[in-house]
Amino acid sequence: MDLKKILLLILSFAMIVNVLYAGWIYRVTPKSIETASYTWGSEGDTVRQIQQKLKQWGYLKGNVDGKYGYQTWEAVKSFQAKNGLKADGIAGEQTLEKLGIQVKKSNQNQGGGTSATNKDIRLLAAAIHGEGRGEPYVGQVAIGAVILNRVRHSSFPNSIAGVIYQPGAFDAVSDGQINLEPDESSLKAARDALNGWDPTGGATYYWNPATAKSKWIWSIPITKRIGKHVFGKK
Amino acid sequence: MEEKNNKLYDWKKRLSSVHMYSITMVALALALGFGIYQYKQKLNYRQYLQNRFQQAFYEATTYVDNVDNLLAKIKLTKEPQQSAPIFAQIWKEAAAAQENLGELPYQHASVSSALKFLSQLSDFSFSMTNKAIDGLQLDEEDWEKVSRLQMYAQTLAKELNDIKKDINDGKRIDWEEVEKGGEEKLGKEGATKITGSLSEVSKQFQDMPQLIYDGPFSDHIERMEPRMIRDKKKITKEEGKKVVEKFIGKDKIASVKLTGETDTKAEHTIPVYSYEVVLKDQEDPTIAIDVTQQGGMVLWMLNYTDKEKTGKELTLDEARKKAEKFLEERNYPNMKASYYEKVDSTVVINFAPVEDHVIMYPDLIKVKVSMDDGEIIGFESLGYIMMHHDRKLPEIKLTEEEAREKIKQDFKIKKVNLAVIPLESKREVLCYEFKGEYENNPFIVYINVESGKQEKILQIIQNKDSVLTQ
Repeated sequence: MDLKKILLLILSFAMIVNVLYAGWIYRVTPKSIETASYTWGSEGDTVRQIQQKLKQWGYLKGNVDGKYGYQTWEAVKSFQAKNGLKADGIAGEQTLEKLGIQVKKSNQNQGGGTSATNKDIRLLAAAIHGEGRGEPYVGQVAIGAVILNRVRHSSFPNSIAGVIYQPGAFDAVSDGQINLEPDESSLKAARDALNGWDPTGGATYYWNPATAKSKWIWSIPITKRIGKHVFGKK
Repeated sequence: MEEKNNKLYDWKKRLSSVHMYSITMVALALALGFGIYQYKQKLNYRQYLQNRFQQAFYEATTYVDNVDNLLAKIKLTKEPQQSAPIFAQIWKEAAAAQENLGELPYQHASVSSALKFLSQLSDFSFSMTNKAIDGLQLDEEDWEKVSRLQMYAQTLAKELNDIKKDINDGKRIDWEEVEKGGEEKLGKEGATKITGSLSEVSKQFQDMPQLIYDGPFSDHIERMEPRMIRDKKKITKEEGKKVVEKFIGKDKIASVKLTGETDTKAEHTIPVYSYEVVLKDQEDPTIAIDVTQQGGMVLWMLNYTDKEKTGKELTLDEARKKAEKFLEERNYPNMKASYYEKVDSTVVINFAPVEDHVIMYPDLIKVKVSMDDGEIIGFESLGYIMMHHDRKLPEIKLTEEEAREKIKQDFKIKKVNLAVIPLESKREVLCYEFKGEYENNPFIVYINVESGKQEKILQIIQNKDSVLTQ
């Protein structure tokens, strides 16, 4: 009887842990944009993008918080009305397109491109997205610039892929966040970086002062601070 | 309440039945089986990774050995045509060694100097190969560099072979350990050396002397000074703000805020003041701009507002004219547009100054124009600030006709210019620029006006939205 009780206890405990673990895995597993329609109750990066655009263009009065609420709904409605769309307050494919937000379908032909500089845009954008989501735009360009500065530097691998996938070089590569779908802002930042914009002053390192574990990193002379990151070159 | 208790008791009773007991056992067995399976999977992946690293390590060792060996041989060569093939081999083997070493999970601090050494060795050998192909004798300085490089190659080869010996003696490299054990662990007194760590090399390579030669990884590139501003006076933050206002247009600006400045301790970087600009019709800053502390020139500017689509779009020609006007108004005279690329509704146009009919390609400025309304939304002038100066151009020794003869006959030449072009080592050469077609594909061929050497071939990638070179 007692043995059974203990067994039962262990088992139910294991099951609870299992369920929690599965839930956690589900939460942290990167999800790409699947639904191309956003409305009341939607949350996340795409909603944030919608809000940012609407705010810039003066439709949205509230804050950019990534939550589709009343104010967002109103803003989407007036944007739709002005752009000759059905003013239903639901940001569907057409509305997103007018807003200039890439939905998944069109994203797939993004990477291709015919020009020489376009080849690695996708990869660079994915690295920027994984490493610098939530950073200011210039901070995202800066991450791209550091990767490109490394490619040109003698003590790093000599290709974009080599630099990005160098073991242990980037957290977003180690934990798989690089596999997230890069958003529009990251693609734009990657393009600016490839076109030669370098906000870092030639930096080959960056780190977050709040989380950097290595003491060695602080021996690198700092060139710039942008957003949460410190940039430096040796 | 009573009923509930009864139910609970009932349930408890049912659970304790034999039937329930066996179900529990089966579930437990399944969970255990699943666990074992997962564990074995993990071991498999771990082994796979270890094997990949092991392969990269062995290959790196082999290539470094070869390099060491070739460097010893090359000192025995006398004529350029004897040296050229061996240098070409070193060029290839050193690059392969660098690649494999770079794939290993070493802490960057401990391996970066070895990687740098291999990059430079490969690059240096390529430049020596070219020198030998040109039929030039290696001078004493070159041979001194070879000897020095050989010394470092020996050190690296020795350490790698010591590790190999450890392995042969039965030790194993635990790459996970190598990855974790950084300098902290090695730095402690009495700490045991991790098998596979490159501590000796990282120590001895620390003070590797500078290597200057004609190639992109040469140490002189890092130390180049910005020609446009190096002798100019330092400006204050307030003066910098005025530069920003003038550059963007004071009437458009609501406010300018200083967001940072380059740390004075940072070497080999152009010190700047960074500003953020809020435009009049906006709430948040949408323009970032860096102004050099010396001379107060705009290094770059980015306007990252997303424009609301207006429905109409400028033509490329209109966009170019807007950019030209923008540059002229900001005191960059005689700038000529060369390449451009349009993505979505923005176009980035490359400009270079033209002086006495010579195009100065090193003094590059990039301008980004919005095709929606023709606004200038980006500016980048690192090339211009680094390189622009009054050049003393060399005397032209070859006529255009003589230069033409250096090019393959069926290359259809359509346009000829004189141009200063930067080589990968940033060395500048004056060339005839022949634009034309070969097998229906557009190319540009550059022929040196002094030596007649073909310095560069560019392929032009042309489509409806862009003209770029490769």
